[in-house]
Amino acid sequence: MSRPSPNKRAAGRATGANTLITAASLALTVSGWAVLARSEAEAVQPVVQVQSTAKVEVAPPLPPMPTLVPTPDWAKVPLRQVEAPAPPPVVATAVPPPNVVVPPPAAVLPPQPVAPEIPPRPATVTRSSR
Amino acid sequence: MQQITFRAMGCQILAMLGVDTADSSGVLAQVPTWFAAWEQHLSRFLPDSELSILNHTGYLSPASSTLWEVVQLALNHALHTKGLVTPTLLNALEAAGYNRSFETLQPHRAMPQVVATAENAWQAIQCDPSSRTIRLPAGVRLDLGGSAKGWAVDQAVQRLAPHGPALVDAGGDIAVSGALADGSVWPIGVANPLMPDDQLDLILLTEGGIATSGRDYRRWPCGDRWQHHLIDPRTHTPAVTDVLSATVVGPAAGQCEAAAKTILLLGSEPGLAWLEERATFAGMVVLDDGTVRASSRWARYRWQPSHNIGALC
Repeated sequence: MSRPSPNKRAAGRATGANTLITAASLALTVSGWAVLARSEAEAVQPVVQVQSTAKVEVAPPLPPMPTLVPTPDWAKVPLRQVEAPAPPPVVATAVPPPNVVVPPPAAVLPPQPVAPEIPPRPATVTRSSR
Repeated sequence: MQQITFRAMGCQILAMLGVDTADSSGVLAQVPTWFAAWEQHLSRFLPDSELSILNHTGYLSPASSTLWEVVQLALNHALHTKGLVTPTLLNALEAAGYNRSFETLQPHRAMPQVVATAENAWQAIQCDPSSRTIRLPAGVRLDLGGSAKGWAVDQAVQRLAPHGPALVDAGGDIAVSGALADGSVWPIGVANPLMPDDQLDLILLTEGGIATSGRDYRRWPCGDRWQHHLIDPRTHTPAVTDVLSATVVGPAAGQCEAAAKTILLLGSEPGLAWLEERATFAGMVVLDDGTVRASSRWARYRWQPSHNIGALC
């Protein structure tokens, strides 16, 4: 791995963009990010739309976050699911700039699992990075 | 089932193998070495890391395969989020006060600064795959914090998968490689950002990833205000948003990580609408006042007893 001096950084800029990679190397059609219309090729199982039968209540506003207190004394917050609106029409992706040369692998929605009757103990917990 | 826990990349790492064979513990013992090696390439806090060298000189040729892959992943994220999740915000992040690893961060007396980079500077990063050359535009330095952990857990799970069903968790960015041997799923809790020891939901995954992005933990006092680590590229300051945390399920942890950040930066309504357009993701958000909202596909992955389908616990 070459490690040019800082002066070479300025020289490198002066030579222009002749090392840019063409967009032809991209394959957005296999991008896991692709905004896809629902199609048979996706093999997505039918989604069961569920409606909550619980009465929807709005939780009272909470006090502002205290400063420098690691464990705030919050009351339990009742949680209610609000149904998301119907998805808008699919939008085609823009032509990518030429520096994105390695498209991610094709991806599909993770399969819907068969849920056990009794809630299993979590193997781990997702949270903002600790 | 066997597991190993350790710290790396500034967070707690958990790796699990859903089998208990003679080589399980040996394979798991290798996981810390993988993360240590990746950190040598990707950490902005190690002065001799490959990323630090790239940021200092603006040029690398050839970049290691590790750095190359993560930079490409970061550029893909920028492309598909229209620049909202971009690796080019290191200057703004340091100006906001996040200039060392979070565990060593001290409160800043000075007011935060605002340092802007050119709009869509990520598009000017030059990459040549034939030589794995990376050239940064003038004044641009990279932070891979929005891509590295997700990439790392996806890589680790792929390496563990031949030995059995695997789960790897890096600070809440989680990848799983397949259903357990008896066909059961990996149950994953979703923490309540307002009560971190409590669980908002229980998600069941057989493969793919799940990640959470939030402003509830990585925050610090700077002058007379609180700063957090999620810089909005439109303002070059920590994002102002109604979303306290966002959690996304998808085909890979790296993509979930970027999607969760996008939702947080966009705000709850536009963020969930953005997610609905992308058929390979499902997500939920928690707002400042504790309200929970979820996308339409989130219910596919929630544990729910058959007699009470749809209710959140």
